[in-house]
Amino acid sequence: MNDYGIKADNASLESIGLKHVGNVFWNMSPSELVEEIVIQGQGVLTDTGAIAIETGEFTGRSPQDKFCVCDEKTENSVWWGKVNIKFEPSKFDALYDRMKAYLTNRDIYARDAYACADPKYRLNIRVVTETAWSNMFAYNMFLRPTDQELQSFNPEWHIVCAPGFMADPSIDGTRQHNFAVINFTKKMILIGGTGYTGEIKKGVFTILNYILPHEKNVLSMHCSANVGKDGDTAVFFGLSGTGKTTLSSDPNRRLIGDDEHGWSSEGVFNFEGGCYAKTIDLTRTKKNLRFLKQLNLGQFLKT
Amino acid sequence: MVPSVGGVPKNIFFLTADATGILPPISKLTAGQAMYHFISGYTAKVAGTEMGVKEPQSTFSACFGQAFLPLHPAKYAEMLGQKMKECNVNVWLINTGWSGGSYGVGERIKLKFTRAMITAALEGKLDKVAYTNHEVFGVAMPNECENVPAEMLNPRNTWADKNAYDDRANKLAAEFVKNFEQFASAASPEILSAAPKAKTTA
Repeated sequence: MNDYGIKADNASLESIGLKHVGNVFWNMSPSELVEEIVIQGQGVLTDTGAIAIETGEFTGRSPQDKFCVCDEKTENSVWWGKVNIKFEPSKFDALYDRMKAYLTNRDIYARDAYACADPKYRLNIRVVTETAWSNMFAYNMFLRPTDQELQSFNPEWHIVCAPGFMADPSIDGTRQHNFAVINFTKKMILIGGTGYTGEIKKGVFTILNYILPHEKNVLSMHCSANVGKDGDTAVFFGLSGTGKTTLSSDPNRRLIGDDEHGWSSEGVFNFEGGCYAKTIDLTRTKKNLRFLKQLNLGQFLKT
Repeated sequence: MVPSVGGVPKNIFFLTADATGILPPISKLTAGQAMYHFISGYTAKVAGTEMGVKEPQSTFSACFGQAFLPLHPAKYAEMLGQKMKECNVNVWLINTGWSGGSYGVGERIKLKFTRAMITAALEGKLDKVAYTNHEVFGVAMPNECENVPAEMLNPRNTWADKNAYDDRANKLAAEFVKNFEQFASAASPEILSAAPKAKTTA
């Protein structure tokens, strides 16, 4: 196993039990990742410089395959039911053992990032992915530490994402081959069997929806937000397709973020550093061209 | 680079793409109504291409993001309610969906009008106008708004068939009430009293 890229001296995937993987590429730049993606034939560069990926079977999240480990920490705090489906701690360990076995001798991409723009509530996350493109997603989606910060980065949460690992429901206790399992005690999210990177995004949102209200008295919100010239903040709640992104982009107001925010006693802060927009059925009309032209090198277009 | 942060909110907008064409394009909510609509998290999907589906489908997702909530929705609602009171924030319900009839009959509300309504709210221009309460949902509809035709502010005006509007409004109200049953035990009287009330016809 060789390490490449920028990382803290003591940073190692062995801390999460990944001992026999191939090369580990740490915090690669977008151009390095694009090169990897294209060389490996996993995606193509578009004429705007964005990279286009076929994510395969899944082009959306799979809510019925999202689980949460039920243990001492979560049993009496989590809202159990169809939104938060129980998963046994021992099953989590066994599933992760099988993922580790799958990742043996494979090259791995590690990405250190922050969630929460307010330093007071900042969450250090390490996203460990099987593919270069899921890693690039994490680069685009979350807040980026500086090179200097990367050299002393200490992760609190780990997200391990292996789209090529297929669970076996009879062994793993999942519903089918794809899954996202959150473990609040071990501070880990395991994602497998799906290449849809929204599982990473909304996995992190789910952990913030627990930590912030439950432990830090901060309201977490599924909303966009912007600020006027006089410093007045507005937030826009709404389900998918109701206009959060459209209505928060206003030339007269500064955008804070388009999807996930926290509201503390001091104000509102974005959880993310990027934007994730659906381009389904977008065609090259004049209006859409403006949007498509914004997709440049290092950005990510999913088809 | 400016960090992605801002002060405490002065205005909150709940966006709903109401394909039934019932909810007003903009309305102002009381604290109780704000909590009720936050917990409900309503939007409607258009009938789309599925065979046999002719009516818009109501969707309720608590806190406008139920799929991502590890805690009970009442926890988030309680925190929002507390913050709304502390910060004296205005809460608006915006229908970015249909007007003049349900999907198939009416039309999608034009983005330029929705933007004009939001701008008026943000600039405090709706603080100075008179309001009319919606007969079923009880929410306050401004009687006028800069750069928006006044007749569209009350959705009932935009329907050719007023009886059809009233019937559909009652039906939507019943859907809200039914969905809310699961949260009723955790809700305060203030929130419960903000539920829509079906209009009885003579």
